[in-house]
Amino acid sequence: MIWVAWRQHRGEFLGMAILLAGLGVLLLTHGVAMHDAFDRLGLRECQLVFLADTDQACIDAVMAFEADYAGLPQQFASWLPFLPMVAGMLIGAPLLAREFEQGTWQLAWTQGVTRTRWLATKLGVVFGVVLVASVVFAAGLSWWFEPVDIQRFSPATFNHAVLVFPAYVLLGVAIGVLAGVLFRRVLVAAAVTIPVYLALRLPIEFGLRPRYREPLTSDDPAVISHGWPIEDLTIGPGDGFPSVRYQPDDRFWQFQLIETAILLGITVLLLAIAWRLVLGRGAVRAGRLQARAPGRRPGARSAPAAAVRPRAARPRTAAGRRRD
Amino acid sequence: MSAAIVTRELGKRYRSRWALRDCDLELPAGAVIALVGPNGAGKTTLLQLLVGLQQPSAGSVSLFGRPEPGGSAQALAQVGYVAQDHPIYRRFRVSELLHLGRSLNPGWDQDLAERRIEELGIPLRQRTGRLSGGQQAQVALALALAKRPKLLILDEPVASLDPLARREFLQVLMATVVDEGLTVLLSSHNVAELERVCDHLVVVADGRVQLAGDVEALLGEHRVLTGPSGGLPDGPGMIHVDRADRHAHIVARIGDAEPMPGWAARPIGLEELVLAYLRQARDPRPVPSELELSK
Repeated sequence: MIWVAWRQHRGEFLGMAILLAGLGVLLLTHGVAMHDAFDRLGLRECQLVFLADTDQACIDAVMAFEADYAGLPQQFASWLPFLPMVAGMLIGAPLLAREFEQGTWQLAWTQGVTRTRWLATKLGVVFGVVLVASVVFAAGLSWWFEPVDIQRFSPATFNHAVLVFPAYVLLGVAIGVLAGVLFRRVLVAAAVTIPVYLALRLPIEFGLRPRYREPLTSDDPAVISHGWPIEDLTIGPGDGFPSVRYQPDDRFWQFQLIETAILLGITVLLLAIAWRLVLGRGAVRAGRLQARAPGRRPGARSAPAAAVRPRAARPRTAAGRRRD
Repeated sequence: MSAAIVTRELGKRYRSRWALRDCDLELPAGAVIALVGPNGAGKTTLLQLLVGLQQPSAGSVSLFGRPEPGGSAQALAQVGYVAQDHPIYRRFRVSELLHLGRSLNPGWDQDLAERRIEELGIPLRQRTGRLSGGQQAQVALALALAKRPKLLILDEPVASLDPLARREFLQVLMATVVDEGLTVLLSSHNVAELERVCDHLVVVADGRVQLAGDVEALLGEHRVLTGPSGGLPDGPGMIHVDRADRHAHIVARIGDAEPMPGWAARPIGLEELVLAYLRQARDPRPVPSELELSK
């Protein structure tokens, strides 16, 4: 069964490999050059005082470095948050929807392998490969973005760290999988993945992330520069540096863990729903699509039914599964 | 003959509508069984219930005395199933599809599968999506047969094929059935094409089994009666009355009994028989024959 799952999703895996290779090329060219320049100019020490102090030579060096190298990483950092969504559309949505769309679920479920094993292997293989690939991808990105980002909590650094980035990718794929189970059409599932992903990601990133822990308050620019000010800095004329609420840099991994836990929690929840739908009564609805009279559009009226029917079918199938 | 398939009060409800209900069948092992009925009669539902692709809303299924067909890997291995429109993974090469069969089925017979594909002249390296409809159907059949199932279930296997491919498909199927002695259940909305191959018949219409039995026996029990159009007899065994200008044709289950005076009896063809039951299902008449039929 592992071979089957591997073979079925070979195209997606190939796509991931190409993406990783592309990133590798970027790192070897742009990334290596940038790191060399960063070390050569001795900017690591400079950056630490960049915000707080006014060492003009340092500021000039940092500005020059950013002008030379920061453009490309910043561009990537601005669209990479959509990559998990794309993964959901291209990997997650077809995972089960294509089986239902092309009728091959009937082939798969009548081989000498139980439905439970079939689904577990399929999800296991795909999510395993996606996890490994996204961790490697995130590690590369983190290394690449490191010199460009002054603050650890900047979106570029936080979003692409080795914990949060893979968690977003898994979430994106899980959204696609569940949408595929619910709508049973690859295109519909892929389209639905977009708003759902955004509706989950935006509130987490911009609403929850600054509040995982009670922020600290300080009016010392040197302290604040080692942290993430979570409200706008408005420096009025005259009365010195204002008091600012901020999250200190040493909370970085703690925040990573918290956000990852939230994302994985949602991922597991979505997959559990998909699991139940497929094993409990997935076939029932697939059968309905088939039994529908020709001429009526399949799926058009099946969505509301999804919310209503599971309970009736569940006890029997649950009992059936327990027996085997 | 022992029973391959037994269903008891089997039913499937989609929300408030019953796609199939009160289905009691006992189908013999080693037979070729035709499941006939119009589109939407519940044929696919019945077949999917038999292989466990769907869970029944009522009643039970057992195959070879084993309940819950989809429940365990061993039960699944006993049944070869080719769904409507013979779905297969279109991106797979034929050889990869056989690899799939081999890795998912304990009793897989690779020789048999390769031999069949070779006999059909289908290249193993070909992607299945590039094959013609007839070839895809043949590959799907080969995949089901190489499991070495005891029971082969085919849902509308020839519906999407052209007449030549139909004939070839059924020939290949029947040759195998004779060789292996397996039980075959195949559905169709066209009884004529199954007439030559089946020895057991199940007629489904409107979600109910209208008629089930051995083909020879059914043909022996039914007669077409022709007589005057006025003053129709009404009684047990009347299945369908077809009134022409001056004569009436009646399909009746009277066996060898003498027809009423003034009426002539002749043997009935399979298609005529099925049609009579389908028409009866469409316009049921409140006659005692219903009681008679439900025996």
